[in-house]
Parts: sequence; structure tokens; C-alpha cells
Amino acid sequence: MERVILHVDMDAFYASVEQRDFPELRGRPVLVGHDGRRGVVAAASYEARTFGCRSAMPISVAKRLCPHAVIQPGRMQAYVRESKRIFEIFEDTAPVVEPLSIDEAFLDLSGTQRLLGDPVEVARDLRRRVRAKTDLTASIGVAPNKFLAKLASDMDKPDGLTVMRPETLLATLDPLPIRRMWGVGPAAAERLGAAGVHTFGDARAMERADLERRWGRLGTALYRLSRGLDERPVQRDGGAKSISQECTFGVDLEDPQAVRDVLIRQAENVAGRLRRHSLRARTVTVKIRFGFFETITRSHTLARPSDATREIQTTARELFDTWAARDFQPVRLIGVGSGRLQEGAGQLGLFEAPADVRDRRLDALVDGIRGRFGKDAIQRGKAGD
Amino acid sequence: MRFSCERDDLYKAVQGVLGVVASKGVHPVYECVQITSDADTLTLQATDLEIGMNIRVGPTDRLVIDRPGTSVVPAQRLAAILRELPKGPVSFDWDADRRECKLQGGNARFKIQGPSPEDFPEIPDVGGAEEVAVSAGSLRRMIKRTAFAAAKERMRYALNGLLIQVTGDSIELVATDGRRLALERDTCNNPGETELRAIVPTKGFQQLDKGLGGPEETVWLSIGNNHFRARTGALTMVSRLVEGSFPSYQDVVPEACTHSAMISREVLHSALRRMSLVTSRDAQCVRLAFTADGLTVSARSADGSAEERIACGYDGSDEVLGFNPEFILDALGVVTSDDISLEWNGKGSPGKITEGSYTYVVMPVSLE
Repeated sequence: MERVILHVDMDAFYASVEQRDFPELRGRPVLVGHDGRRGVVAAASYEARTFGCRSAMPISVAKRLCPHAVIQPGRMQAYVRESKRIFEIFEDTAPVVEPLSIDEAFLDLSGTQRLLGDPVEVARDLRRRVRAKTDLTASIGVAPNKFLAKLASDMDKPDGLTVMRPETLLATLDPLPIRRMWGVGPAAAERLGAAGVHTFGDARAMERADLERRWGRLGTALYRLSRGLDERPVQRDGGAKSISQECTFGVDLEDPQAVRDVLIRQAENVAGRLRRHSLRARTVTVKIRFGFFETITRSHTLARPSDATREIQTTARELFDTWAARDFQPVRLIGVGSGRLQEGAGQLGLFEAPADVRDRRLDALVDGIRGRFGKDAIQRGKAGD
Repeated sequence: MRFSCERDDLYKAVQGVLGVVASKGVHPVYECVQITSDADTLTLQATDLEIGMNIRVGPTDRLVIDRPGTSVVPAQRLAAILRELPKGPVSFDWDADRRECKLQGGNARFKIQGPSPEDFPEIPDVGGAEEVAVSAGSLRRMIKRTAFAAAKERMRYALNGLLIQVTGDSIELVATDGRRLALERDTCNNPGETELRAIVPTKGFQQLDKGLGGPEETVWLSIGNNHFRARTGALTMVSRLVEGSFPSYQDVVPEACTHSAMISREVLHSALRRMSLVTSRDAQCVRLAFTADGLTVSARSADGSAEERIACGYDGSDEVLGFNPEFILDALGVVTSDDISLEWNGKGSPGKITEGSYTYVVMPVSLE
């Protein structure tokens, strides 16, 4: 059966939400990100992109490219709220939705023609509804597979709808730089370039056996993707499997307390991110690297899923202390992870212990302050000391 | 000691006490049932050291006591033999010197060794405490409608038992596992105006539920000496009390609710059972979406999803609630009306199902 896949991608999502909510920003170059020495651009409005600003670029670089850009600190809660509304429309449109990120998803419309009508019409209607409900624009690619759908959505941004048609497929693909191919990163692109493979067309011109002999599994991918072939199914539940934070030190830390301070801060951030995504974790993991790149992890399963800063901090700290008490060595890397995530607060209790209620209020308060004034606006003292 | 009786009468009494025979490994005598007779009654007694049961073998006109006395027999073995014996009379003969009982039924004869009767533990009593009377039918219904909600795992509060509370002529049983709560009230006969309040192990009430006779039978309840006692003409159950405090459950029962829906019990019951097929073990949750057009129940997990529309009398604003389906099913299993009313007070607040004197409160599963 011919598949019909939509790739829906919101246009400059964070920046567009900012421009929508603050009219004075409309038509101006907007960068979303932390305006600090190590800040990175999380999103750039299309006005900023004309100056060469891109997401993942250091803020300092973006400011040099576009000195009059407005830098917004970012309001994750607002983006998450908007994302929920958008995904509700997705879920309403297609039987299977695979989220890729906060503002991007694959929708599988295969076999729905009789029920829902022409997929291109469905895509048009989807764009209309997103716009009506959120006042934001999306770009959509319609294609027989995920790879092509994603390529297509990117071809007419912003606010575009691109349909990949079989008759023009190869003509569209051939001139694309090989770097656009899924699974080809900067390093692979360089190796391929050295071998004379610069575009999709270059790859398609080569024999399959030759590609595979030279590059193994990447060769197989080159053969298939350069022809626009991709069988991967659209899968529900692409949700996060874990939330973690880790930090590598420039020099090994010899003082356990110094490591502990970092760990406590990381645990607080992990708990905050769990709450932001409405997730709760069943396991807390501490990762420690020391000596000659030796890495260990220590995990603990909680009695019930939690997103409470105190519980995650205490657990991480106990895991670290147990290791440190017997085996401490100068630490190169420390990290806190949370796993076995589940959505929502889960089953609520009839009788809550007063301490739990206090913890939850405190977490909500801290989250609120950070949401308004940034992550560094408030932090706990050395919890547990 | 020697007696003969109907196999069915003796078997029924043994089964009645079998649930409180201590498990293996404590002491052989605790794995036994004590059989005692005077001139015209025969009584079986067993204890697991938390709960003691005492059941009279009846009726007396089918009982012939040749020689009164006391014997102690391994309970499981006695039950197994009686189960296999044919219907009809059985005779029991205890040889105290040899500590051996001869059991005969039909043409089959058994000899069973028992331990020394002197070691059999005393079952404590409530002393001269005042008693309250309630009908077996009422008590049974109260147990059936509450006991399932008691905690099965160890908890912070004393939730591994049922709270029994008597004030004036009102008797109340309450059970909760911290996520849902069941409360049933009835009337009792309390001539002494006794006030009772205690937490009794769930198992004590379950044993009582099994052992009680006809609905008209009177059960006398009392508390004293740190023990709870329930007795009828033929049965006595004595249980140690659960220590600790019961949470202030009155505070969590919402009095007036802003939202209320009427739903057919059977329809909701079968829909929830269907939805349970696709909930995940880690996060058991069904969504109940109420609109003016009716109720849509749905569930989803990584493995799949399900949805079903059912009719429902509801005229409030659109509301979506999440519940563990098992908790709702439990309640639907014990109420009897054709239509149930589910009431709540908006997001995050408990749902309430009531029927006459029965109240069931269940906390939602957060959908956020």
C-alpha cells in the first residue's frame, strides 16, 4: 500500500510565540536564548535568519551578525502550553502521530483517503486549524515516507506546503547536498566529499555494491535514501526515556564536597525539567567518571514516581555518598539522570503528608520564579546540609 | 473424649476456623485445631496469634457426645480427611494417653497423631466489656462494601485494617488505602450507649464474613483489653487491634459537589473493563470525558488505545477526569442501583459515589 506521511514543523517556534505574545517584536529580528557568555540561540525569527542567525549558534556570534536583534530569555512554560495545543490538533488529524520534538511531528495518513479525503487537503486544513487556534504558522511536507516528508517540509519555509511527487522526485533530490541526508553528519560529509560524493545525485550514480563496500551500513543508507526510499514506520511513543544532566570538569575535582555541590545543582535541574515536561521518574541514576576514563553508574528505584527536587536530590546525594565513602577518587565527570518516566502526577493520594505538600509548594514557587526571571534567578542553599 | 456427628457439620466447622490456623513453622500446636466438648456441645477453636476463632458444631440434635473432653488435632490434615469422607455420620475418639485420634466415616478408619493439648494457646478475651448488637445481614453487607478498600501493603498510617465506630445506635465501618475510601453506615442496638472505636485487621472481618450464619442472626460486638470481639450463638471471633491512628477520613469526604453525573452501573462497568485491557501496568488510568452529549471513556498506553461513548446524565461544563479503572470497578461491584451518581468538585478533587448510607471516595489520576 502506498503510504502517506506528513511532516509538520512549526516555523521558528519559540521566536514566533514571542512575536505573537509581544506585538512590539513583530517584524523585528528576535533571538530566543540566554544572553550570557555561553548562551546559545534556541530559536531565531525569520527576520534574524536573514542576517545569518541560526539556532544552536552561540548568542555572542548571533549578536555580531545582527547587533540590533532583540534577545528574549525564553518562556518554556508558554512553549510547552502551545505545543500541547498543537499536538491536540495533530492527534485529531491522524490516527498515528510520532512526536519528534516540542514543535515537530510525523503524522501517518496511510489508508485514510476514504475516511478523511485527499491528504493534501487534510494537510491544508491542518495548517488552517493550527493558525486559527494558535495564531502560529506551520510548514508541512507530504510524501510517501518519513525521510521525504521531512525534506519536503523544509523546502518552502515558512508557512509552506510541499508535496513530493514521484514524477519530480529524483530531479528534486539529485542536487541536494549530501549533508542533508539523514545520518550524514559533518564528519561523514567530509569523508564522502573526499571521495567525490557531494550531492544525492553523486551517491545515486554509484553502484550499491560499491557504496556498501566502501561505507558499510552508511553505504546502504546512501543507496536507498538517494532514491528516496525509506521504510521506517511512524511510531507513537517517541517520548523521552530519560532526563539527565552531566558535567565534565576541566580538571579532576579532588574535593568530594565540590562534586556534591555540582551534583545537588544537577539534581535540582533534572527535577525542574521533569516538572516542566509533566513527567515523573521511577529511577534516579548517578554517573561518575574518574581516573583513567573509568565510568560507573549507580541507580536507585523510588517507592513511587517523583518529580520533587528534594527527593531527587536526596537520592542522588545518597548514591554519590555511598560510592564516595568507600571508593572516592578525583572526579572527571558527574551526572544525574532520571529514568522510567511516566506522564502526569499519576495516582493522587487522599491523605498527603504535610512535608510532601510543603515540598511541592516550594518546587512550584521556584519553578514560577525561574519561569519569569530565568534559571539563575533563584537556587537552593546546599540542600540536605 | 468421644463423639459422633454428621460429617458435613464437622467439616463446615473445621473450614470455618481453618483461615486462622497459624502457618507452618511457628510451633506444631499452632497448626492445630482444638476440639472441646462438654455434656452437649462441641466447639472448635483455632488462632494465628492475631485472630482467634471459636465455632460450635451444630445442630446439637445431630450430635452424640459419649465422653466430654479436649483434644488437639492438626487442622489441615483433619480438614483433608473430612473432605474425602463420604456424607453421613463420623465418629471421633481421642486417646489422651497416646495423643491419638481415631476417626471413622463409612468404612474408612484413620488414626492421627496430635501434640500435647496443654500447649494450645489461650485466646485472649475482651473482659466484661459492654456489647452492641447488629444483625449478621447488616454486618456482612458493611464488610463486603468496605473491606476491599483497605490497604494491602504496609502503609504510613494504620490502614491495614477497618475502622469500626459505634456512637448511639449508629455503626460505621471505614476502610482506605490512602487512594480511595469506603464507608458504610447502619443502625445497631446499643442499649448501654457504648462508644466503640478501634481498627480491626481486615482479615478478622473477612473471617467473620465467612463464618456468619443467616442474615437475621444477632452479632454482639465489643472492645476491651486491646481486643475486638464479635460473637453469635455459634461463633466467636477475637482479634487483636491494629495499633496507630486512622487518618481523619471525614476531612476527605466532600460534602457538596459542584459536578454530578448519572451513569448506568452495568454500562460503565463493562466499558471500564474493556478500557482496562489497554492500560499499562505502570500507569493505570482511564479518562472520563463528560460533555452535555454524554460520557466518553478512553485509555491509552504505548501498546494501544481504546475509546467508548456511553450515555450519561450530565449537564455541567465539559470535564475530563482520570481514574484508576480498578478503583471504580471495585465500587461498581458492591453498589446495587441500576444507575450510579458520580460527583466531584473539579480538577484534582476526589470523585464520590454514594448509595444510601454508603459512600465511596476515590482520588483521581492526574492527567497533566
